[in-house]
Amino acid sequence: MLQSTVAGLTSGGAYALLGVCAVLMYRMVGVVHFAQAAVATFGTLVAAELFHDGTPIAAAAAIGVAIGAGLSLLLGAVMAIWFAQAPIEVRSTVAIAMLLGLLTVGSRLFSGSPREMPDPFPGAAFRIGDAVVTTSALVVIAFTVALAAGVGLLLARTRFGVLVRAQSERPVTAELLGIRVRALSVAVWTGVGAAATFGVFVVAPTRPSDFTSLSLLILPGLAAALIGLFRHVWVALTGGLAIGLAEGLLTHFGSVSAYRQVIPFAVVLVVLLWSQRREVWDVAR
Amino acid sequence: MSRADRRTALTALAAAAAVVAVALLPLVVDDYWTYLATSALILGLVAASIGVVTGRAGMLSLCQLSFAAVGAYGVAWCQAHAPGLPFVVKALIGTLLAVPVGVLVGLPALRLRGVNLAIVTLTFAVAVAAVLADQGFPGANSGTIVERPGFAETDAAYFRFVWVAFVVVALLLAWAGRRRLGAAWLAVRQSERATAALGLSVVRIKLGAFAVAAAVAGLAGALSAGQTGVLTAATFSPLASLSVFALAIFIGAQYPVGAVAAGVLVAFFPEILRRLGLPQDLGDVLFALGAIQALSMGSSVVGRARSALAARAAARAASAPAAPPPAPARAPDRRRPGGAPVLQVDGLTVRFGAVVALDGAALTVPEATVCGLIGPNGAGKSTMIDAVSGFTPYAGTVRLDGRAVDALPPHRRARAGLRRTFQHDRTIGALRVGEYARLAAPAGTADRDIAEALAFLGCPAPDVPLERVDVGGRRLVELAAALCGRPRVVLVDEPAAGLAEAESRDLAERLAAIPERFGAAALVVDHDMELVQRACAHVTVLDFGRVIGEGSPAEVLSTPDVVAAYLGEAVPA
Amino acid sequence: MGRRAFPLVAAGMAAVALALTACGSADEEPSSSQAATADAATASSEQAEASGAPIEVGGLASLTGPFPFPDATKAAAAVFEEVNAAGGVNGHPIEYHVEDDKGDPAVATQAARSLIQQQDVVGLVSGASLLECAVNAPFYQQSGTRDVTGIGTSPQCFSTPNIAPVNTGPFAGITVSMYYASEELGHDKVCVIGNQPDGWNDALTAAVDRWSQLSGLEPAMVDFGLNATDDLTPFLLRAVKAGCQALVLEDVDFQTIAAVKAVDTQGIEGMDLLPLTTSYSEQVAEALANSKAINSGAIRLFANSEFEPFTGDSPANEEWRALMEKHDIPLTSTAQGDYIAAKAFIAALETIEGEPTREAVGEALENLTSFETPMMGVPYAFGPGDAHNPNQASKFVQLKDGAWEVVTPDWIVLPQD
Repeated sequence: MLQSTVAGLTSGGAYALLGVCAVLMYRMVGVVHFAQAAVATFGTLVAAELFHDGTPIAAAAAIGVAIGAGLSLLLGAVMAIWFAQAPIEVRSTVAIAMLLGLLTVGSRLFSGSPREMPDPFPGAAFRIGDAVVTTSALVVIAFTVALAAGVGLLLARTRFGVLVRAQSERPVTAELLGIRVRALSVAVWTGVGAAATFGVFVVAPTRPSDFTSLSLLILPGLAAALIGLFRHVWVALTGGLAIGLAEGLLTHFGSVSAYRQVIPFAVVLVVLLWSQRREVWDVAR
Repeated sequence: MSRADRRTALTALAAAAAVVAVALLPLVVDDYWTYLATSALILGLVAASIGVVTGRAGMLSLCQLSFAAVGAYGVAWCQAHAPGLPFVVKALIGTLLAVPVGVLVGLPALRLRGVNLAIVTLTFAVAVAAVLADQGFPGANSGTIVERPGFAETDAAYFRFVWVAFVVVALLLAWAGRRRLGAAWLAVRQSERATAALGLSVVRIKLGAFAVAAAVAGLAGALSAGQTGVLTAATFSPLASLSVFALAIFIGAQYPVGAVAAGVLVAFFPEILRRLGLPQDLGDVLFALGAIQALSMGSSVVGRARSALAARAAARAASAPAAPPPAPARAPDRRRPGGAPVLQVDGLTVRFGAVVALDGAALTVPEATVCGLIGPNGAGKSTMIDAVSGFTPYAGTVRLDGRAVDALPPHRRARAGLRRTFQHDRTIGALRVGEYARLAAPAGTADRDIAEALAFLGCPAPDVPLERVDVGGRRLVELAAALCGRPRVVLVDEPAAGLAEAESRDLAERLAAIPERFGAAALVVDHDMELVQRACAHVTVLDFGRVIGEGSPAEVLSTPDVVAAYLGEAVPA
Repeated sequence: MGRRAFPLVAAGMAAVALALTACGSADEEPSSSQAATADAATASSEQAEASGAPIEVGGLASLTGPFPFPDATKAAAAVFEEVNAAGGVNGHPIEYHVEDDKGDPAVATQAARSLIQQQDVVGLVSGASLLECAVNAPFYQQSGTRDVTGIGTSPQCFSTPNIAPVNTGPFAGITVSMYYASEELGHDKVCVIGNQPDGWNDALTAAVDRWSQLSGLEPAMVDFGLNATDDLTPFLLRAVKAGCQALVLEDVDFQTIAAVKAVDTQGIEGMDLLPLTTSYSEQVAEALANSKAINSGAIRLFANSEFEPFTGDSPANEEWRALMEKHDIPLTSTAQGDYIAAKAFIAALETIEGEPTREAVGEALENLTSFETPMMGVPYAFGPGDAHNPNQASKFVQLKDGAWEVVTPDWIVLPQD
C-alpha cells in the first residue's frame, strides 16, 4: 500500500507543477490557463521528435522548452492585446478555445506513432522500504518548489515583481502610471509556459505520452490550484501532491479504484467549503 | 396602435411564423437533415441552460453536460427497469433527477465565486465522467435501446417533438427573464449585497439558477437519449462541457435566438466542411479561432446584435429625462421628536481583527422621523449601517419596532422593514430603472406606485436602462427602490455624493418628506451639513466608533466636541 | 493594433494551423472524401470494362480525434482500386466513401446517416473506430446495412447482427492471450489489467470467464479500472503483489510503453507482459528497444497478432505487402484487417447475381460462411446470427533485441464449445 501511494508521487509532482503554474497565471495575468498543459505537451513532443531523430537530449529539451515558451508568448500576446479588459467568462472562453484548437492541431501533428520519450532522469532515486521514489518525481517536485520559491522572491523583492503585482491588481492604473502592462503580461506568459514545458517534459516518460492524455493533465492541475483558491502557491503545490498520493493509494484498493477521479472533487468540496465558510458576500464593501 | 406596440405585435407574429416554419421543416428536407436539426436543438437547449446560470446569474458552470448525463441516465434507467413507462414520463424523471444534482453543485456557489466556482464545476464534471466510465449507462452492457415515444418514432416526428420542447423551454425562460426571477438573476450577478439589500435571498436565487440550468440540461440529455437510442459516456465528457460553454458564451445563449444559433452552428458546421471536402477536425480549429475573433469584438455575438438594435431604437425614440416634480409646497414639520422608536440600536460593537470600528454605540430612530448620523471620515458611520442592516457581524442588539432582529440575515431584515442604500453605487446596471425598483417592492405592487415613488425622487423614467443613468441619478434610484419596499425605516448612506448643490437642496427637501409620503423613518448619513440640517430632525454624531453627541442639528453642530472632532483640536500652547 | 487587426492575425494563424496539419499528415490525403474521389477518378481512368452502375460502399473510421487511426480504411481503398482496375465486380466499379467520425459519438451517428441515407451505400467496410459500432449498431440494423469491419473494438462490434469484424478483437484477444499464457507458457498465475470504456464491463468479464472455463484456473488479479491518462506504476505494483507470472494488458500502445518504463524504474522482474495487438507495431518495438528489463531478460514482452504477423517475411502476407507498398500504405495490422475485410466483401459481392442492392448484399453476406485467407487462423465468416466474432485465433510475437519475433509458428485457436 505504501508502494502504491508513493508511486503516486510522480503524478502528484506533475499536478503540483501545473497547479502552481495555474495559480501564477491567475494571480499575475488573471487567466485560467486551460491550455497550459497542451502548450507544454506541444513543446515536449517536439523535443521527443527531435530526440528520436538523433538530437542529444539536452539540446532537444532546450528546443522543446523554447517552443513551449514561444507558443505561450503567442497566446499571451493574443490575450493581452485583445482581451485585457474583458470579464472573466470571456477570458476563460478564450482560454478554452485555445485548448480546443491546440488539441486538434496537436492530435493531428503528433498522431499515431508513440515516440520513445526522452527520459532525462530515469530510474529510481531512493527507496522507502519497498516503495520506489523515482528520480523524475524528485526532479519535478524540486523544480516546482524552486519555482514557487523563486517566483515568490521575484514578486516580493525585485522591481520586476513589483511591476507585475501592480499590473495584476490594477491594470488600468498601472498603465496610466506608464508601466508597460502588455509587455509584462506577455513576459509572464512566456516564463510560466517555459516552466510548465520543462515539467511536462520531465514527467512525460512516466505516463502514456499521447498528445491528448498529456494535455488533460491540466484537469488535476486546476483542482490543485483550486485547493489553493487560485491564490496560495504553496497550498496548491501541497494539494497537487496530495491528489497524486491519494490516487496512488486508492489504486491499491481494487474496488474503489475506479472512483479515484472523484477525489479531487471530494477534497475540494470539503476543504474549500470549510475554509471559505465565512465568505458570505462577494466583494468588499 | 402606438409604434412600439405595433413593433411588438410584428415581432410576435414573426416569431410565431418562424416556429411554425421550423416545425414544417421535415416536409422539405430528408431524414438526414432532420436528424441533424434535432441534434442542433438538443445542443441549443444545453446552451440555453448555460445562458441561465452563466449568462444571467453570472456563475460559471463548466459541467452542464454532466447534468445532461444525469438526465440521460434517468431515461436509460427507466428504459432498463421500467420500459413500459411512456417516454414523456421517463424524460420527466430524467429532468427532475438532474435538479438535486444541480443544487448540490450550486452549494459551493454560496461560498465560492468566479474562477473558484468554475473549477469546482469542472472537477465535478471529471468526477461524473469517471463514474459514468466505470458504470456505463444502464442497459449499455445488454445493448438496451432507449425507445422513442409512440407518437414520435420517426426522425421527422421526433424532431417536431423536440422542437415543441425547445419552444416551450425557450418561452418559459424568456418569460422568467422578464419577471422578477430574471431580474433577480441579473442582480445576483452584479452584487450579492445589493441583492440582499433589496430583500431577496441570495441563497435561493443562486441555487434556483443552478436548479433551472440543471433541469434544462437534464431535459436535453433525456431528449438526446431518445434521439440516439444508445448512450455513450464520451458525449458528456468534461471536454465536451468546456466546448459547449465556450460556444454559449461567444454566441450569447441567454437569448433564445442565441441558443438556437449555437445549436445550429455546431451541428451544421461539420456539414459545410464535409461538402467542401475539408478535414473534419479543421472545424474545431476554425471554431476556436472564430470564437476568439468574435469575443475580441466585445460581448457575445447575439448580445452585440441586440445592443445595436436597441441603440437604433433608442435613437429613434427621443427619450427626454423625466422633469423632476416641484418640491413639496409647504415645508413639512420636521420637528417631531418623541414618537415610538422604530429602530433601536444598543451597545453596538464591531471589531475587525484588532481594530474596534464601533464601540458600544447606541442610537434611536423614532417613528416617522428623519434622523442624521454624522461624523468625520473613519468614524464608523458606514460600519454602523452595515451592522444594523446585517452585513457585518456585531455584538449588541438591534430592534425594529421593539423586536430584536439580530438573528435575521440582511434580506430578511429588509423584508421586515429595515432597508438601506449603499455608499458605492449598487444598482444593477443590466436592468432598467423600473425593473430594478420592482425587485425591492412587494409582489403585486402596481406599476403606478413604483413610477410615483421614482418620480418623487426625481429619477429617470422607469424604462430607462440603468447603465444610461449617471452616478447621482443611480443613487436616487437606489433610494427610491428601497422606499418602494415599504420599509419601516431606511438607512441612507451618503445620498448626496455626486450631486450638485441645487440638486442636493432638492434632495434634502425630499428626504424630509419621506415620513409623510411613505410613512417611513430614515437615518441619513452624509457629509453635507446643509443637507443634514435641512432634512433631519435629530442628529447623532460618531467619532472613533463612539457616540459623542446627539440632539437637534443646530445644537449638535455647535457642540465643541463635535467641532473638534471635525476640525481637530488646537494644540494647547 | 486595433480590433480590426485581429481578423488578419486569425487568418494567419489559421493558415499556419492548416500548414501544420498538412505537414503532420504527410502520408495522408487532406480529406476523406477527396481520397474517395481520387480513387474513383483513378479507377475510372484505368478501368476498361468496369462500366456498370457503381456499387456504393461506405467506410467509417476514427481518422482524427483523441486516439486517431489516420491510416484506417486506406488498405480497403487500395483493394477496391485494384478490383476496379481489373474490371470491377461483375462489371460494376466500386465507389468507396470514407467518413471520419473524429472519435465523437455525435459525428459518428451523423456520418453513418450521411453514408446510408445520402450516399445510399449498399454495405460498409469500416476501419478502426472507437465507437462506431456502439453508436450505430441499432441504425445499421434498422436500415438493413451490413458492416464488414477491418478492426472491431467495442463489444457491439462483436455482439450485434449487422456487424462482423475481421479481427480477433479485444475480448477474444484477452481470452486467447490468457490462454496462451496458461497453456503454452505454462503459468498458473495469470492476471489482466486494462481500460474499461463504458459498456465494456460485461464483455470484459465474459472474456476472462471464458478463459477460466477453458483453462480451469482463476485469474490472480483482474483490474479494468485503468484510464488512458493514468500512470501505470500502481497497477503494476499490485500485480507484483498478487504474484502475477503473466500480465495481460488490454490497452493502447502508449500505455504499454509507459508500463515497460515503470517496470524498468521499479525494477520488476519475472513477469511476462502480454499486451493486445494494439502494441504490435514497429513504433513500439523502436520505443522499447532500449528497455533494460526486456533486454536483460528480467521480463518478457509478447504481443498478440490477430493476423499472420506482418513483421516477418511470411509468404502468407506477400500479396498484401505488395499492394501496401504499391500504394504507400504503412505496414500495420490495421492495414491487414482493412485488406481482409475488403477482400471478404468483394467475395460476397461476386456471388450476387442480380442488382447489387443493399438487401442483396445483406443476403450475400449472410451466405458467406467461409472465406479463407492465409492471413487468418480460421476462415472469416459473416453468416446469419445475432453476434459475430469469427476470428478466434491469434499468433504471438515476442520483442527480442528491438524487433518482433514470431514465437508461435502455428495458430493458437480458441476451442469452440
